[in-house]
Amino acid sequence: MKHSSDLEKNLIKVLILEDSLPDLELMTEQLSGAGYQLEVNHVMDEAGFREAIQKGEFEIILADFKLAGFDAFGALDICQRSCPEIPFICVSGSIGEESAIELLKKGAVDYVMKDRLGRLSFTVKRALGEAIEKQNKHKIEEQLTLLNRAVEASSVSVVITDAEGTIEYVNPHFTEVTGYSFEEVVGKNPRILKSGNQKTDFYDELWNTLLSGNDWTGEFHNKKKDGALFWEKAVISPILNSSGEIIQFVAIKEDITERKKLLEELVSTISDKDKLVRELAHRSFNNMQVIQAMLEYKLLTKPELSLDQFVIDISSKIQSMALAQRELNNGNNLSRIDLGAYLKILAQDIMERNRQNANLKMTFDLESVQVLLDTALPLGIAINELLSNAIASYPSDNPKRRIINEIRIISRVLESKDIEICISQTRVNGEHFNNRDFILDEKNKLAVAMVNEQLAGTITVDATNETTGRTIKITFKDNRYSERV
Amino acid sequence: MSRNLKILIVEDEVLTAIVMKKKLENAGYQVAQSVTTGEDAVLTVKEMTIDIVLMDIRLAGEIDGIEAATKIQNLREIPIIFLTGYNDAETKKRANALEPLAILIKPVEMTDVVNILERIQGDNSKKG
Repeated sequence: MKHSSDLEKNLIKVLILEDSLPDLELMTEQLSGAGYQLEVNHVMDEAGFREAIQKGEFEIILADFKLAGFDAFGALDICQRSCPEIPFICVSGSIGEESAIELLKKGAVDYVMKDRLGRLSFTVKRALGEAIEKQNKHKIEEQLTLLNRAVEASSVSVVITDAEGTIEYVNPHFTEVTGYSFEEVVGKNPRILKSGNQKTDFYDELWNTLLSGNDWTGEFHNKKKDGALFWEKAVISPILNSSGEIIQFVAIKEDITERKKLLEELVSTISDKDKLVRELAHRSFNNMQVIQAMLEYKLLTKPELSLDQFVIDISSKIQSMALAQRELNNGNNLSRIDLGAYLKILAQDIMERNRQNANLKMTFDLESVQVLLDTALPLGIAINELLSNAIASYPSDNPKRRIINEIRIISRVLESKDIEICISQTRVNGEHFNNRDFILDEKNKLAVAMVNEQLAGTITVDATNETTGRTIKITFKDNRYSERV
Repeated sequence: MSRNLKILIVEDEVLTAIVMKKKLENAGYQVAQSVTTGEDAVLTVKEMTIDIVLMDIRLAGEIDGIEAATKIQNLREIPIIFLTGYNDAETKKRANALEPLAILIKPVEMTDVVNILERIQGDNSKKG
């Protein structure tokens, strides 16, 4: 391969096919005289020529037209097959015009008559120059082909516009992403992709950046042909001519819709987790506060209680809270529990703790309804107090008495969406209730406060029915709190 | 020393509110009102003289304690003590923006509250 630096040094490697030694001498003299330093590979016949061609250590071929048993046509033929890029010059004493034209047609770059060898150095110089030019052109073509293939096969969108922004080229990936064919967009402005979700400022900034000759990088919220929205991360570069004027813009764009979605999901998952951790910590601190308040409340309101009674009462209430928390873990919701299921285990637990009477039984008619833990916790404390007091209103076990006492717990959702809980109890061994046992007495004060103030509900007592005993009715809505997790 | 600060308790846990009220009264303070929602807290401040607000952050109702405190401060500059089960940086940052006297994390020692009140009371007496 000839390099321009070698040309400047005027060193050339030349293959000469010539059966006349005087002619060979004349040729080399001509070239040396013109300032060339020669590295001559001289062959005299077809065999030598073929061998030399195979070795390939030359940059130009000078071939006599007529040899014994061989000629320039045969030599040219071999060259065209093995090394078409090497300039082939025919040097002849006897070439006719027709043959010369034929040689040129077949790929010889020139011919020189032996009687005019003065032209030889000039012809060689021109042929070598043209060969280099051809090589460079070929290299550029190869690069262009490579680039073109890369752009066509690329998994990013490539858009080329003219200086006015009119689309000149889009690659197949652009078509794949947007749904617009090459023909549909060429000649149009890329604004056909605008979703309208990005403000004028956004495009102003884009154009200001590009028109000042700088690359613009950003994200487009664009619209496909079918109307679907998508996100593209783009780099747009202005292409300048030699005088610094913008002649084209090239945009390389990557569809990041999926990536953006994943990122958003990730962020939302993390923030959900953060929220959950915060709410669980809050719940734990709050429960400690409630337990502390229960202790202090007892101490402030019932200082006369024995330590035993005190501990029994408080641990029962702590258990009520724990049972609600346990119901939470049974469900798949982190904020709500089934009120029916909770009331049942709560009542059974209180019954166990206060069992002193084989004549007492507890029955249920509970509707399944989901309530917030924020509602269930105070309700549990209130029910705990009401039930404990109801159980305590019966005298202790007397196996000789055959009357069975019953406490019945009913829960249901009313048409108004209010939740109603009834605690009905039969008369104590057939005796009438008296006013002291009514709801508003001191014993049930905390339950009343819980229902009225914390649940913003109502609590009433009905002891008018002579046969059935009395019924405590609690009504409330589960709408005081918003769901946090 | 007369402890004439009028206190508003904003606490959705009724039991906690009752205990706080009793303990403050035992310490010689007046609890002017005790409410369970932020909305009621704002109404109370509009309707009566309140010198200090003990504010829970998680409340029943639509607005939380920080939002309620913001509305109250827009009405009048009333010192606020937050009492909350939230111990996270974000909540504390939001609460601190209102420059409260303190943010006390539950379970709260009422002596801590009383100590802050004593200090305020002392400052008020000197001014008076």
